[in-house]
Amino acid sequence: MLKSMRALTVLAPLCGLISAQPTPRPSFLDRARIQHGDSVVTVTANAPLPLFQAIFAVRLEYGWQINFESAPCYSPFDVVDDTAPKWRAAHPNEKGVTRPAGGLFTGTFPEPKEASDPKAERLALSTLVEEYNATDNPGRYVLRVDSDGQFTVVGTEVKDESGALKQISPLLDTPLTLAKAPRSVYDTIKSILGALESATGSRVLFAATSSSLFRTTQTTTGGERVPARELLKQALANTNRTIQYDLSFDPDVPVYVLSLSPAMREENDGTGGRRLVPANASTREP
Amino acid sequence: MFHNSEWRADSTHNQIMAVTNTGQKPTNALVTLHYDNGEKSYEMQQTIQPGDQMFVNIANLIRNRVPDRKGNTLPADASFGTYDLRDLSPGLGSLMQGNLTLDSTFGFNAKPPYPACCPNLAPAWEVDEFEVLVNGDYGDPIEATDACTGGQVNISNLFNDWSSGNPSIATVTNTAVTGVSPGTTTANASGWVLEDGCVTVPVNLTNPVKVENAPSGEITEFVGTILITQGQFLMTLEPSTTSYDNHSVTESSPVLGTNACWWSTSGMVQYPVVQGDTWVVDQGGSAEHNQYGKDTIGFESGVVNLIQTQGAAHGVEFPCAINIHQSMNYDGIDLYVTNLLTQTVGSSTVTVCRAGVCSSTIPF
Repeated sequence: MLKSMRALTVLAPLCGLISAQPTPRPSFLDRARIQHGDSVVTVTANAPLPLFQAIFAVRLEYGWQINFESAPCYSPFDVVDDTAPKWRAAHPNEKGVTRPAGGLFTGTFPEPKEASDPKAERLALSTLVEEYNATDNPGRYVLRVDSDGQFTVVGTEVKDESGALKQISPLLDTPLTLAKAPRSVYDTIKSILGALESATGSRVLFAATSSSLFRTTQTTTGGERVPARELLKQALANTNRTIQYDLSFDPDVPVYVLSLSPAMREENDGTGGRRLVPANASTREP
Repeated sequence: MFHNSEWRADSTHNQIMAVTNTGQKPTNALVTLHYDNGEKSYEMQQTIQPGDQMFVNIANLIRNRVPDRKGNTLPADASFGTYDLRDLSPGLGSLMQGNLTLDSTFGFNAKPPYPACCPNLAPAWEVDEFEVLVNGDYGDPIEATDACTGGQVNISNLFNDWSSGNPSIATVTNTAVTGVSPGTTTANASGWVLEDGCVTVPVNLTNPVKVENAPSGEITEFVGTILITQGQFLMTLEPSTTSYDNHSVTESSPVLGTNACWWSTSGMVQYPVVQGDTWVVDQGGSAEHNQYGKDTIGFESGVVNLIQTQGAAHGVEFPCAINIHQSMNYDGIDLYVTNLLTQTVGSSTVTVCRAGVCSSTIPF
């Protein structure tokens, strides 16, 4: 079977890969750690995308719905070699792969008195983003508070080939025109991603491993020159679930990947284990 | 119940309240004084013998720092507020209240302000029929419209006789209807309610009760693939002797899953969970009697292709598996089964499974 991605891999712009230096594969944390002090929460992440790992942990700690759009890092100042030694040994002359050059990140924010308080959530997230931007980790981010009160952490700056920070236009800012017509949420998302590719040339894969909800929910999402982000959230709102999205970027292919997950809170199950509790949808003031 | 009447006690005002038990049995009166704009309250509870009275001199309570039933005292600067009077004893209310307000602002003046009577209109259970599962509970508060506020109030405490038409099918208490065995019966409650005209009248409520068995499990059937690498499944609830048609089943993830195909720029979720879909039994798609579906599992071909082309270089070992835990709840309440959903990606094959039922090996 012809695998289009394989062809893409060969033809893809190298995006600084040639100068990406092999580095020892560090050991990262599987998940960020959260510690509660007297009045301060400390999040310790150690990952190629440490801000995302920190946000993932905060989501589960408080049941917050937080969208995340990775900064599309590509230059050797933002990515490092990630080629597995075993694969390299078997493919000595082939192009390797990279990962974001992130590592340790420790952030602190005031302990929210009420997890459901949007002001506390906003303060926590804006503090984390500000602290992250002060580190050498790749990408610069902003916290956006959307008109519906949802919080979205958006990558807005990456380093270019000279190592200088440059502004980027977030992919989901792209205005799209989508006909208002009854479709499933799944088909609507695919239409949005298809329109994005047509408008920008950037391919976006939809990575949902449990997709029945999106196939069974109907929507009439559409509009003229509406930011892709808005169309996506309009479609997801029809599920009546607190679905959050993550948009990541793989510079090796290159390709964006969109994944979805319900907002959940993780808590002790009373027997030494952990269990998930659905986060309740709440109306937020922007 | 009388409520939201005003009281005032300061250098030129006082209020003396008399609560009389006009009934034939001792009764329990609760007078609650609200102050500080209603944010705080002071509660006096007293058993009143037939024909006896409970007197409340508000200025005296303030001046002498008399503690209430919770040990609280009225602050020395408390001067006005509202009060409620409730008869805590079950059955016919037998309290009668009279007031004397004293006003010396412009010379002595005394008048008896009568408190507002707040009937409970249209008492009823909040549902027309109780549908409960065997061993399941359904909260059954009796509510009525408070004629003073227009809001719904819980008046279950005014009902003292709760019964089931058939206790072998369901039991009925003042807090819940509980399913015992499959069948139908009635829930009954009797009490005394203050109705329009401030007359206490007997009220008897009866509601039908339907008790059903929750599913004991389900049979999963693989029905095909979509977008090459996703599996679709149809489920049949068991036992087949019970009809579950038109009821709902909802998925959730009790714990985080695992994704051995993941790497940091893959964009896949590292700890996958189900999205929380709800299906109605015997509705939609190819679902027939006692069936629901389809449940679509697995990444579509674009993502599987990404795994196969990029994963190995990132250190992913093939075959790699994505595992998701899925709990199934019947009618949003009863957990009847927990499944493992998997998608296993080889270098040129894919397999999708639900609850141990798998697709054939999909070449890709």
